Amino acid sequence: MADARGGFRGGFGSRGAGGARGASRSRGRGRGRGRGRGKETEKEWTPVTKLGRLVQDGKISSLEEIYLFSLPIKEYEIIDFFIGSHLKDEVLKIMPVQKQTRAGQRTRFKAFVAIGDSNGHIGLGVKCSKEVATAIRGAIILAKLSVVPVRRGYWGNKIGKPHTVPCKVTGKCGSVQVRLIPAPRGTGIVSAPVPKKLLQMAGIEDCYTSARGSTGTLGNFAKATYAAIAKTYAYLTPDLWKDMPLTKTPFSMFGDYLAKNHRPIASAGDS
Amino acid sequence: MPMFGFCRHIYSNLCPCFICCKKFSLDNGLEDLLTHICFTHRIIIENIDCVADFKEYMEYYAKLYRQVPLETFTKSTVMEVPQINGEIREQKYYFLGDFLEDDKNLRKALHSKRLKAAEKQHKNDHNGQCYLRHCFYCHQTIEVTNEELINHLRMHGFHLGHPDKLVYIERFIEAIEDNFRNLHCFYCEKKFDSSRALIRHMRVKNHQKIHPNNRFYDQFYMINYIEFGKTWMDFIKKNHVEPEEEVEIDEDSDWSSWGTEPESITCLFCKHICRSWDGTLLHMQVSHNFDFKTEMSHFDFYNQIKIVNYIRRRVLNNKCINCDFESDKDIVAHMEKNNHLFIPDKGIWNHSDYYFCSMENDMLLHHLEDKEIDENENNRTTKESSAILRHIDIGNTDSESSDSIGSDFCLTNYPKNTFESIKNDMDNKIIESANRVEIKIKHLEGVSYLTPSHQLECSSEEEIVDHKRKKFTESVAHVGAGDSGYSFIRCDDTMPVSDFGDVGSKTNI
Repeated sequence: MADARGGFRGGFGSRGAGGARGASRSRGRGRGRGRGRGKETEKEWTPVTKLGRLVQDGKISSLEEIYLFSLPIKEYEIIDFFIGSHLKDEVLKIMPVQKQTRAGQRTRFKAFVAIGDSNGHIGLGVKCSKEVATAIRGAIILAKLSVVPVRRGYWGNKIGKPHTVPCKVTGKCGSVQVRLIPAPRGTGIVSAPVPKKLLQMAGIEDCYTSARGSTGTLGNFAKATYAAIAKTYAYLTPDLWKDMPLTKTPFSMFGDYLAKNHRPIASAGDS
Repeated sequence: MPMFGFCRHIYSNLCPCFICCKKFSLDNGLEDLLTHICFTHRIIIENIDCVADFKEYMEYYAKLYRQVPLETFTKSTVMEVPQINGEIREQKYYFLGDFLEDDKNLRKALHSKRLKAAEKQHKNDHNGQCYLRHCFYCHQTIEVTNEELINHLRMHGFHLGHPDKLVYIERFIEAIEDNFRNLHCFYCEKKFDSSRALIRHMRVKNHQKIHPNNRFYDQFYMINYIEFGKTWMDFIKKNHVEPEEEVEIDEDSDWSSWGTEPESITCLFCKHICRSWDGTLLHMQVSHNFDFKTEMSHFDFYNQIKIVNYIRRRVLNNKCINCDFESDKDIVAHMEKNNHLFIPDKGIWNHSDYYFCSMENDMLLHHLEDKEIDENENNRTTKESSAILRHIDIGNTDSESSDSIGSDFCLTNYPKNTFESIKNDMDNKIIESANRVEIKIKHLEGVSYLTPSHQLECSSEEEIVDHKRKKFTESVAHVGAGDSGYSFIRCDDTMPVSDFGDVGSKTNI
């Protein structure tokens, strides 16, 4: 009777996973599923990029080396390799988006996911798909690819571990402008719920925020906060003035290793 | 197999068999007639779905049959058919279908005729005429066009499709309303005891739509009239790959589609809650005569935080923010009556305790403006004028320090005092600062001594101080004792207060 094929004349198409989807759809935002992403089944990762190959062979010691040279990370397994066990993801929102087709409405689900290890790394991802689980999976992968390091500093005395942003930074997305301001130890994060989550996942313990623009658009709000957090390492403070000797990039260091051990896949045109 | 039923509504429901002229009712579909034709006359019509108008089809063949024998316009084959008595008999069967040129043309003609009628009806339906209608769901009588009615029903959750794709809309609505009145769910055809039960069933089971397999409703959708022999199902099968690809690019990374209402902000002084920042500002201006924005603009971000936290803590403890009055109820009334709704002296709130939030989730703090960027721009213009003054390091250049002379001369610190006491205070302060000046100036050699307003070049340090003191007393003489407890100083250009204020620090109130 309720034919699974259809609902074309108006309802959204359902498949077997209707129950799980219904549960997640009815809740609002912020009921995050903060599960740690330790891989249950070790699916074999065959790297496709040079960087991936170096990472898998253990030639690169930490994620920070990659950030130092601003190398683009195109495989999410690289992030997983270094900090995968500490990363916690949180689904910020799942919203159904509908498109009117000839035979009714077609609904897809859009998942907003934030990922972080509460110790200096944060990432944001959004993905749209016909099923909720697929959207979440895709969003987590995109979030991992967008992980950036977070610089933390002190408000007053430099005792203990850094706990707040090192300086006032501001990020902008759409019409929303978010400004992060250092706060004394113990203040906590004084901000709206959405950036608060992001700042907690980044590992910032105390921070004041000041937001301008239409902060009702939470998507832009989250992205502006992410941009502001990413700027902490872009800001040149006096303690970074000292000239450091240049080091070689991993590609030039391990160039011979790559050439010897990995042959590039022959393109179809050649053969 | 049911066919398009629209002809049912237009024509009478009786159709004669084209051979024996026996009349059959088409109310329950064509089965009766077809079985009769098949068993009695051994004629089988193929692809009955493609026949747009069965009655006309029958009439055409009735005419033809009277003129020529059956074999000429049908294809006949001999088939083995098991009989009722068990034996198998060979019988001749006649087939009518698309493979016959004549039949095919007939069917096409009937199809285009029906399509034209549907198009005409579609135009009529969408001519924008308003009718008085009674919504069966919300029991409202509304005057709407057909499109608005469909949208109205969609608002109730009934997804019947896009109005542009529908035709014979009035009959469609009638059919649905009939179902509703008879307490039938039009999706699964189950009967219910009451309209409440029916509505609940439809909502819970998601039956507020047309069943895709229910061919009766095909007649109301334009897509079924368009192509010969095809219904919407064929279109779906053909097109179902398309939609996935086109939207992938656009919607995926669109961050702006997620939005909510902003959280509610509580007023600083009373319990008034407002959803918007502007509303809160307006409320404080109107109800408490407190201009939050301008008052706060004098302080940098950290001081704003301290002020807000101080006020919140006092108000939450039912204490007045400017005196020690305590009252369990309506501290706001006390503050309004005694004009205590202003930002108190810096010494009162400049405490590191007030860095920490007095209230959980204080949304007001999120809207504080950090004006550092603007401040830098302002300072540039005053820098030139105070370049020379820097040699004379009067007061501190630190904007936070309350030692700067500019703040001392501000009269809002002395609301209730009389003119005399103000003057005495000022005099003392001048002497104090003059002493400071003297000490500092003694360290400077070879600097030309200019009065702050660059008007007079003095030959010695003492003269500057004298000059300043004279200027100040002159302008203080303008002060008149007002009727309210306040005294005002008219701000002149010659007044030293503003001059002092230029020395690398903003005038703090």
